[in-house]
Amino acid sequence: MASNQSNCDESSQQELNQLRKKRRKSTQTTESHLQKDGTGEAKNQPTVRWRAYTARRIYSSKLLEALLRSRRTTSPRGEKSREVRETADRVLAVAARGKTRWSRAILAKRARLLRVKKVKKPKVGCDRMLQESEKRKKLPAVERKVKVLSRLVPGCRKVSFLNLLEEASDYIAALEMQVKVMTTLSEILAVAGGGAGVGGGSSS
Amino acid sequence: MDLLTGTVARSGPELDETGLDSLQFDEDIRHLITAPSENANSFIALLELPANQAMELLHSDSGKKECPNVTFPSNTSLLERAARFSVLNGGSNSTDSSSVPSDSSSKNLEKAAPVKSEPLETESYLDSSQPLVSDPTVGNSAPNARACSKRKERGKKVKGASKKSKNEVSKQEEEKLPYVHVRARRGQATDSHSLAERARREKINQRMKLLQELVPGCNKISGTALVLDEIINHVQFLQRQVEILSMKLAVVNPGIDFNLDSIFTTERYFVIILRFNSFVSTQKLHFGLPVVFADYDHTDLPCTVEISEFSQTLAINLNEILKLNLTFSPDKNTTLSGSLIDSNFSGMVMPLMWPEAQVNRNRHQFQRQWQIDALHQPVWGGEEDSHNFITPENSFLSYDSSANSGTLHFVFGSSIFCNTISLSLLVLLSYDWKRNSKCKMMLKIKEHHSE
Repeated sequence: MASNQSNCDESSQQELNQLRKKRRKSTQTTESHLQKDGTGEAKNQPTVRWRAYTARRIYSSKLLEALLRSRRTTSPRGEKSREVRETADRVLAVAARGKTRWSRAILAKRARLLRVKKVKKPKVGCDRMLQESEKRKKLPAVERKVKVLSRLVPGCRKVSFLNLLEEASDYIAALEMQVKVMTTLSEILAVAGGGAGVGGGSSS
Repeated sequence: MDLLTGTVARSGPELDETGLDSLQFDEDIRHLITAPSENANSFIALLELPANQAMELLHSDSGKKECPNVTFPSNTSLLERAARFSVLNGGSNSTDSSSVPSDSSSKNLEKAAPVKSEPLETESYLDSSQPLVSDPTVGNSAPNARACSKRKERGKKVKGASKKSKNEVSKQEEEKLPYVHVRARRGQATDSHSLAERARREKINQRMKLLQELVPGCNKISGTALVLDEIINHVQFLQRQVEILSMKLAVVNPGIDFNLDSIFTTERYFVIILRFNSFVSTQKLHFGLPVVFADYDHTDLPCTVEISEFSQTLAINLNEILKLNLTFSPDKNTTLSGSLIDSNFSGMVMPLMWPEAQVNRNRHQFQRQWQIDALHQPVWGGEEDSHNFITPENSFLSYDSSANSGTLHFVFGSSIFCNTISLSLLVLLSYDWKRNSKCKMMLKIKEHHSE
């Protein structure tokens, strides 16, 4: 029989610390022998970065905070889900620490919205484009897929194939982590919220 | 020659014929030192051949094989040893030259770059020349190859004439390297353009491999287009998941709002995990939620869980914890969330999760999640939940204002504990964090012999 204590301030402290300090702990033991690498490459592998437990923890706490904050500030009637999604994406981009292109692009999207939108100039060779599109080659299938992929990964439209692959791998790892965290978070909140709702109903 | 003694000392525990090897080694070092030609320096170092033979190779067509055959046998032992050194010192990449003994000698050459690649190429030599012997070393040196290959290289290495050395070693985990080892295979062009192309292709292949590992089900597919298809599908799938989840969260979010009106920003979830059979874990946070652990050793007795704390504000709000909502898995021998055991989080759907505190155990775990929601009305009971076994009769909340503590008492029947390894309580407490930065929560488990 034992009793344990938990410091309640520890959690808030930890969140603050997460915001301030960089966390360099890696919980992967398989990569431990690579950690003595001079350039620290092991930690930059996308799987290591996004699968470490610390990453999940950081992201989940930040997401929770951001969601609570967003609930307070704005409440658009029709589009709550989009707002939640954008919050989640932004927090994910923050968790990426700006090392990847897609994260910077996500963060820049919001900044761009605040500025005046530029008017797009119409392309000069419009007719020529149309003519060429008629005799468009279907051969570079890989190229087409590369274009599709570049559209999917934010901020990677004019990026070389090599960098696109790199960004895509990091983006996929980050998305997986995001999905996991959001699933568990929604479970927690669903049960908590559902319990409260039912309890309130039964009391009256 | 303290270099050699140093190297011999390092190689001592590992090899049998260190004396003989070091002699050969000495020879080779001298050869390396005395081969001064400008471009071929790196080349020579790569080949680890005596200078004259290397020059021959350099100037001859890249198809000749006679010369290398002469010296390769002696070199392979050298290479083996070098590889073993690099295995031994694989972790210490702080000084690049420390992992291969000849590196220290090559400092005399004023070109550390070519020699850095030696461990890499030694392993490829091993691959090609001594598949049998090198299997254990290759296995050991594979991680080292990664380590070696991650060092900054000064340029691309080219081997004009080599045996069929494959690029397997250089391919491993070189994703982030600025430079790639490129070896021209026999009969391939060695002009800079094709080399550059080859390097680019190697990089692309490495990254594709990494992507294939990330995307499930991509390992069997071959061909860039199909793999790209899979990747695109996966990304779209993940993005769709995020949208669905964000819709869910948007729906659920008001739940919190509804619950926590004014002290909104200071709400925190606590996770209280009661563990039995005294399994101690060092996890303090679960998904950013603070955790209180309590260990209880006697699994066959009913017990009272007393949650008491010492801060006044918290105590007041404990009074408002009124509804106990208990859920647990009906099947006592299985866990509520099976995916937790693997700690993989591979499944998309996860029922209530208490990650990793109990994951590392080998025993089957029986987890229950309890929730105590803070409401403002005294409501007891779990009408909505048939699994509740904590009823108003066997639990109560009391508040002792003089001692600034509140207690939640649960009385469990003994039948619970026979298969229970841990119980988790999710406690949502309204707590003013800003006013009371220090709060202690003590969890006492008292044995309850009566009743």
